[in-house]
Amino acid sequence: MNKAIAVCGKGGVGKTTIAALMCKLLLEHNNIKGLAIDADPGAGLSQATSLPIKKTVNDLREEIIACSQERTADPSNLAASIDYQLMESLTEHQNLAFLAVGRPEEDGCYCQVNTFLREAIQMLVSHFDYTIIDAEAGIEQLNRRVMERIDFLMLVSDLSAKGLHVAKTIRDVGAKNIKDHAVGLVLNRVKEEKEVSRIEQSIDLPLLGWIPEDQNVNDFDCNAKSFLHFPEAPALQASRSIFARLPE
Amino acid sequence: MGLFTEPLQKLNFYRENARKRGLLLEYMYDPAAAWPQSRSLVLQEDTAVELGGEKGSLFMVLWTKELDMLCRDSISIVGPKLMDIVPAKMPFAQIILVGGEFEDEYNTYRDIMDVIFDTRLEGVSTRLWPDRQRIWCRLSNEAVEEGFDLFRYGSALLQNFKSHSWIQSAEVIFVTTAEDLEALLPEAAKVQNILEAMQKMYEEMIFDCETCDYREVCEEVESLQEIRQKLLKERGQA
Repeated sequence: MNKAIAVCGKGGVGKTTIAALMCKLLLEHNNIKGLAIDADPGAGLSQATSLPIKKTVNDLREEIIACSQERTADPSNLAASIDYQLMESLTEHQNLAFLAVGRPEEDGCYCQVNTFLREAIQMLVSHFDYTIIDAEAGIEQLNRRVMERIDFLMLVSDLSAKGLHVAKTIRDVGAKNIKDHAVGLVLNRVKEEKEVSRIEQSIDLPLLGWIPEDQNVNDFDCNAKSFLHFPEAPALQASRSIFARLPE
Repeated sequence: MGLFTEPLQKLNFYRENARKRGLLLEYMYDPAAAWPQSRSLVLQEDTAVELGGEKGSLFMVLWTKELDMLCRDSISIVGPKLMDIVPAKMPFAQIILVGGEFEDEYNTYRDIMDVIFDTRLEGVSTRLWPDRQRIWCRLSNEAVEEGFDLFRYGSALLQNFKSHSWIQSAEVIFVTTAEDLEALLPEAAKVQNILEAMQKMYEEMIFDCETCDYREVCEEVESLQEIRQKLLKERGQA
């Protein structure tokens, strides 16, 4: 088992909350090795899980470029040293490791460094049973900067027409840019179940599940509590059934 | 004289000194003892012992055509062997000496590094930063329970080296005490300097000694001057 799941959607629909709840669920299975990647420059997943950032992928990238420019690194050993530094950059919590991507790349062409980084991340991901990526809205950017391979696009939307439209757009962009992956829609902050049926019938996206409006989520968000300590409340129960439906 | 003749002499002296101090454990390579190989990632939670990393580490590779400069096909451990280790984290040095017949120093280094990178042990995460001479190993609880130790680690490395026809023998030295690791640092810096000078020659087209950072080491190590002459000739600049 080695699955990479990207949690995508319009800004503000609850991607980070859902990614954080998925991390909480990974911690429930101590025989599973999980990796959480915060691909949002705002580092929302770090805040939502209270997992500190040791060093971002972009910090690492800048250090490597500086090393190359100062001639303190042998280009042939670069791939191996990235491997070392990536491991040093991981924050570990039980069976869950966490890596933050950081702010976007600066101008300039560092193709070799970027390629090595992508390969090193891909290699790292291949060691984990599940990788959860809290993505930026634009899947093209996610694909280019973080990973070559994504197995499942979890498209998160609230019930708004705009949120659903963005989910479909990401699905289409993903179809062009990412090979062999499945997609599933997760509806968030659902107040009434009948709304789910209405949307399911009107949208050409497979529904993976839905998460009800839950006051605990607001409480955790507003008070900056770690979702890794989220109680056995409706949002977590719904997330658990979504997690169970993820393709094996 | 080879590239590393002087550092190898110093390492021989160091090994002999450790033997006299009663700190040296010596084993002959045993293919049956080689630890099984497969890629592993060991997370903190599953880690029984962490070698190197924050506790201090050193990684060094040297090669020679003079086979009597190394203890052929042996594994030496200076300091506590893994099974004796009480703390979960400890300093770690891995020194690899390779003897064989080769033409080109640069490709020899690449070949040796390929063998080291390709040695992936079951239940062991090894990360290398060769340019900084750093190494970091995590040994899983399961690997330690099943009898992993540095002799078996060394045997796996030697097994992989022996699959290359140009390599006639190799030696692995592990160091697990902070004092001994510290004592090796000056020699390690010298080795790194020679390596960097050699790589610079192969990777650059211009040999301007006046502005080169490695002028001093090139003047000191005869083999570097020979490489320079050879490359100048090959590139028609002699």
